[in-house]
Parts: sequence; C-alpha cells; structure tokens
Amino acid sequence: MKAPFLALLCCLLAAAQGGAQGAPVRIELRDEKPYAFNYGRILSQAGFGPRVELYGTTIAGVRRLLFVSESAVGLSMDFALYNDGTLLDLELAGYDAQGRPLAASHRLRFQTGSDAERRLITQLQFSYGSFPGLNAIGPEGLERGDAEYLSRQINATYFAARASLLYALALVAWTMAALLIATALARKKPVGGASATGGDSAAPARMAALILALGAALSLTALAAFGPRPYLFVIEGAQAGGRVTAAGERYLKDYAELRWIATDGMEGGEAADYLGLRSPRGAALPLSAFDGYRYLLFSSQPLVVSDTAGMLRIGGGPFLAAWGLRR
Amino acid sequence: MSRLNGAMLALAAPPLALALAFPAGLDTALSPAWAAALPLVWAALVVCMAGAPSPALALGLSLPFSSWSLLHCSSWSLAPRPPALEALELLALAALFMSSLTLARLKRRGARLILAYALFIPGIALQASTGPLASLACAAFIAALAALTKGRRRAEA
Repeated sequence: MKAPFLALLCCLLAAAQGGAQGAPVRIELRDEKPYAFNYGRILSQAGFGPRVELYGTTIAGVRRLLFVSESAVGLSMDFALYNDGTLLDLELAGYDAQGRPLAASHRLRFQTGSDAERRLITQLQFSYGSFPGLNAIGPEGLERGDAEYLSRQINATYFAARASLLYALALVAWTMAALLIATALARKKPVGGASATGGDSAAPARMAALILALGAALSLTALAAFGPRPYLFVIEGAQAGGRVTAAGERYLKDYAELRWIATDGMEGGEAADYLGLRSPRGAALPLSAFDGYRYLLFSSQPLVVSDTAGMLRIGGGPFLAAWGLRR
Repeated sequence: MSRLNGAMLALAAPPLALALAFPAGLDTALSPAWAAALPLVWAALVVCMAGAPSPALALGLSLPFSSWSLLHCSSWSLAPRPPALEALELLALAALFMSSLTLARLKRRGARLILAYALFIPGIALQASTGPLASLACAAFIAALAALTKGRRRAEA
C-alpha cells in the first residue's frame, strides 16, 4: 500500500519543483547607448505579477534598481532604463502571473568608442550641494566657471525651492476669516440672554467650529481636485555661463516646464543644457520630456517607472539635476 | 481681544509664519502622515495648554494648515499619489485628533496633554507605517472608548 503512495508523492514533488522554475522570460534591449535612456521589452510566457523590477550591475559590481513596473499586463512589457555608461548586467526580479519567480538576465555590450559629444558629457560635473541665497547672481546671469561651479549657481538661484506665496496668502486669508467669524459670533448675545463678550460661552465657539469645519471641508475638496505636477527646469546653453534670459513657462498635460536661455551658450553651438527635475508628492516626469536630448548625464541614477497606463516616467524622488546635449 | 480670539491667534500664528517662510516642494521630507499631523499636534498642544474653547474649532482652523503641509512637506513616492488618498490621510488624522482630545478629559492640563499625545502620536506613527485605514480604525476604537467612559460617568452621577 505504501509504495504507490510514495511514488505518487515523488511525482507530485517533481511536478511542483518543475513548476517553481517558471516559464521562459527574455529581456530584449533595443538600443544600448551610454548616457541615454535605453528602451527595450521584457517577454514572459506566463505573464507578469503585480510588481516587476529590473536591476543593473555596474562594472564596479554595484547593483542598482533601474526600472519598476506595478501595472504589467499581458505577455510583454516595454521598459526603459538610464544607462550611465558603467552598466554591465541587467537582472529581472519579480513573479509571473501564477506567482512563480521570474528569472532573466542580459549582458550589455560595453562601448569603448566615443565621439566629441560623449567626451564632453563625461567631463561635466554637478555641485556637491546647493545653498539657496549664497550665490546671488547679478543681471548678467551666471558667473563663468567650470561645470561644478555653474551647477551650484543654478541649483541655488534658479532651481532652489522657495516659499509659495499664493498658498501662504490663502492661509493668511483663512486665519483672518476665522478670527472675524469668531469676533462676530462672540459679540452676539446667546439665546439664553447671558453675555458672551468674553468668549467663555461655548455657543460662539461651537458655531465658529461648525463654520470653520465646513470651510475646511470645502478647501480640502478643492485641494483634492488638483493633482501634483512634476517640474522640468531647463537652462539652455548653461555650460557657457554669462547672460541668462527667461524663455517662458509651459504648462503641458503631464508636467510644467520652466525655461531660461544662456545666450552666449546658444551662439557657440555645442554647449550643454542644465536641467532640474522636481517631483512633488511623487509626481513623475514623462520620459518623453527628454526626447530632444542625445546624451544625458544625471546627478544620480534616475529610476524609471511604468505607470498604470504603461507610460514610462522618471519615478518621483529627491531633486535631480542633469546635463543634456541636444540632438 | 476675547479669549476665543486669543486662543485662535495662538493656534494660527506659528504655522502661518512657517507657511510664509518655508520653501515649497522639498526634495526630501516627512512621510505624508507626519507632515499633515504636525499642525494638528500643535493644535492639540494649544487646546490642552492654552485652553482653546473647543477641539472642533482647533481642528477646523488647523486642517487647512495640515493640507498645506501635506502639499509642501510630504515625502516623495515612486508614482503620483491619488488626491483621494491624501484626502483620506487628512480625514483619518482629523478623526484621530478629535478622538484623542475627546477622551482626554482630565482636570490637570499637563496630564490632559500627555494623555492626548499618548493616543495621538502612536496613531500617527501607525498611519505613517500602515496607511490611513489603520488609523481610522484606531480613531473609531478611541471614540468608542470615549463614549463608554462618558456613559459610565453619567451612570455613576
């Protein structure tokens, strides 16, 4: 009686082991260009689980998260990653639609050849820190200097986070209105006839609380109507320094773009643009915002995320700076 | 100036000064629960120590400051947070604030404050780590406890 039972158990264990290995998965990278976003596709015969991650290992052996998708549907998924020129291996992490681990890797071709533009982008630097107010620049715009000095000036003067006057004024108006309501209610005599001028009676406070609670509910509803918006700041031709003029603000569907032009840099031709990315409350900038750039150098590795619609974006995070060479 | 106005001014002036001076869109900041809770924590302090007439009044005055803080000081996430989730964060914190203050009915101000914070601060930590639904449940539990205590007091009287 025992032998058939044991055989059946062995068969079941073998089947379970075979199943745990998962269906074949493949990473296809369309272009392997350093200092640029590289696009590709992941193919899985068993679909994808709720979260798929792509890690990269650099020549120095450092492992970094490069891409995250939390909305993969179907048997293939488009992805993108930023190749900083040191990437060597890609490794997939996650589960397929049946909960089995996904395992795939891809080795990048290390490109040694370089053109003048790529040589230029590798030499550009970023500031080690940004101190708003210390580098106040005059009407001439940027003081000339090396890339690191320019980066520090731009971060501190053009891209520095400042107090939002509009919101602060709305809060001042809110406080004034609340004080006026409380004063008006405290002057009124309560129904019982006792004086309430001292504000000690609970009636005016209760009425003020009700009015304020309604006002707060309305303002919170108004707040909920506005989603967070990512910002892209650009100084065209920043590498040349010198005079900088404002070139306007554009409020596009997915992000807002604020642009300045360093006029000296535009005349020279090859000068690099300096870019800043802000992602308030996880607002993620679409990758399409960088379509105009051939080479990009980021201050730190950007993480690419695929949103619920499958659109590729730079995941929300701390302020990110970049040097870019236009196509 | 009436006591009511004085308390309201004490409640609004410090967060207002912060809102005027503080930069918007911080690069690295607090978790959304802590960011939205800070003005409420301040309100709890004023209610318990300076004797603002009503916790509901303090809540009404402080909530827009909480929403401002949530907008400008909350930390980053990978993807945009839906506005409804932020509204829920605020709602859960408001419920937690009210429940912790309604339960704290001790005579001594210091003891009232300690009890309010002893309930409120762990609630915020809970929301920061597990989300607004957990703190809503926590607020409901405290509110039920407050109702039970009130019922027992009435029965004893």
